Amino acid sequence: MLFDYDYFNFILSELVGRIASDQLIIEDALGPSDIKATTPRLIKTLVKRNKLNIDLASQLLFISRQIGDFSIRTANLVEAIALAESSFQGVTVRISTDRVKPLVDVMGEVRAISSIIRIILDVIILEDLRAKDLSIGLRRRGDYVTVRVGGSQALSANQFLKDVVDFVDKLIKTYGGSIRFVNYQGQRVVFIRMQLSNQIPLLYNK
Amino acid sequence: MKKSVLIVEDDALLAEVYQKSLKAEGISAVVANDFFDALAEFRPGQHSLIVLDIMLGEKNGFELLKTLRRQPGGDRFSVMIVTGLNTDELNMNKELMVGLNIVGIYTKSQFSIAQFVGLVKHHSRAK
Repeated sequence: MLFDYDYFNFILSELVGRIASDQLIIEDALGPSDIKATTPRLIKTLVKRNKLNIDLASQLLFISRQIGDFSIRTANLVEAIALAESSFQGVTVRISTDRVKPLVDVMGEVRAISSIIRIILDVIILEDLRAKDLSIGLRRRGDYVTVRVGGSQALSANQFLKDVVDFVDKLIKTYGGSIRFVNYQGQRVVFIRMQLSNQIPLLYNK
Repeated sequence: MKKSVLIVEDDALLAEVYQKSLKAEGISAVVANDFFDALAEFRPGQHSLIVLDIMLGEKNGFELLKTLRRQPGGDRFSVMIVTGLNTDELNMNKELMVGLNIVGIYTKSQFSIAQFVGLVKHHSRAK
């Protein structure tokens, strides 16, 4: 796989700048500065945003280390989702696997897929910091499965968030998948499509 | 007539912080979150300064400046660029800044709110 290091560096440097910038505002508000630009509500929001940005940075760094390992293998999707949502605080993530069999094996590495889902969760909460209940649903069709992530408002995501989604879309294409980031009647919905691992023999025998 | 500062920033939370900090110092500020919003909020001759982010979505801050300059009175404002881009990325776009009244370029992660307010005051007065 050709990993786009320039794009990765661009996203990471923008992200680090955002973390530093928010941190400066938070410290300003808590410190002795004469100019108090922030209210407690704003500070709370900035702290929450900074935590999410830090998590996003750590997931992106993790993914970048996995790149050499993006070989064809099998991952249990339900396990990957459980790993992704396990440590979210203040946001409930409901997972619905009604439409699939409990074991859904897709092409990819479980930690990498979990990290991609986690990045998508970070992005949609960063867009709508008031989101409380997110849902993850799975739908299986023919040779692929779609993970639907929703539950937040589409508040015109800024260019940076779109760049992050674009970046992970490029990564998941390695596994034959794709990501769609859509505004459905004011709601943000992200569809992550992944190839079922029963497609591997077909790929090998092409 | 008292002039206002036009803040063009796609990060709504950051724009709110900028606006509130300026208001606390008696400086009125109008916020625009994207290119088209900025075109709608722009009033020729009424802004002492434009605080401009570069990454605005489909169209960037440089394109906005060029569009504003083509409007009547569009050559009578100063611009302070406040961006998340690093110096290398800005240097690559140097040619885009020619002929625009840019009074300063600052990286978001390198100044505090107190410094931001100080810079806005300084550049507004210099105009």
